[in-house]
Amino acid sequence: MSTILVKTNVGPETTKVRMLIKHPMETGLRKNKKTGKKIPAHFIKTVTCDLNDKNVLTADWSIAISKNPYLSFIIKGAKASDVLKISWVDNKGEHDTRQGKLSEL
Amino acid sequence: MTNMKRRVFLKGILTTGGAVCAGMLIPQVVLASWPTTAFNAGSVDQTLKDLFAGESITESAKISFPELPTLAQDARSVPVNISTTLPKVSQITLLVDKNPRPLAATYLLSDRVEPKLSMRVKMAKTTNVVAVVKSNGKLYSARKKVKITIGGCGG
Repeated sequence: MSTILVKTNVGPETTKVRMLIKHPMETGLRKNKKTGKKIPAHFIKTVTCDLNDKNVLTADWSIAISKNPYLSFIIKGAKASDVLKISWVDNKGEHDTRQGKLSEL
Repeated sequence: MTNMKRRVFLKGILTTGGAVCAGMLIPQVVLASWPTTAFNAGSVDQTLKDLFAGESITESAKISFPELPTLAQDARSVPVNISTTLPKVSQITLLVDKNPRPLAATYLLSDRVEPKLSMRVKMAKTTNVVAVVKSNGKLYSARKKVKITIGGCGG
């Protein structure tokens, strides 16, 4: 199961891409109420979106992005057969990638 | 940095073999652009200085936050969208003034992407949200206040 959920809406001129990534986005500022110890930071740093292997959007995120991050953007002039690839990497080096044709995501 | 990478790379080949090593290198390549200093800065002014090397920023009415609530229901997840009619937008940056570290996100856009982004952001308390847009190589900004209520009771 991919951690990346993608919905696309391919229109004649623009394509709306909406994604939801399953991730705790832990700030490193919160304390565990039982032990009083700080919960270590664990957050996505970078998300890259490529269309047909060409980068269209790169997001650099901080701890301020909400848990299970949502991001939407609009691509101009994309075709249903174009391949979108979305990748994320977090501060622990964990990463995930999802790719597929716009019409099939 | 380059030396470190080469060392990691060589070590990887020697100890674990090429396939595993290639897998380990992916995050480092992707992470190359993450602006660490700006993300750690404690104020909006300092963040902008770190991120844009002191370039001047002009206020612009062409940047808007169409669906940003003036009163947020849940401070852990405030929907923020940034939209602009400025031409040739290459970068959009979002700052939350009263957060311990104001820089929330910065996006690099290719010319294939419309300058309209939506996301959800944590906010520590009632604050100004600042968007900085790079259009045609110049910087423009806009801000809007968001009221945060703890526990959903007005105030």
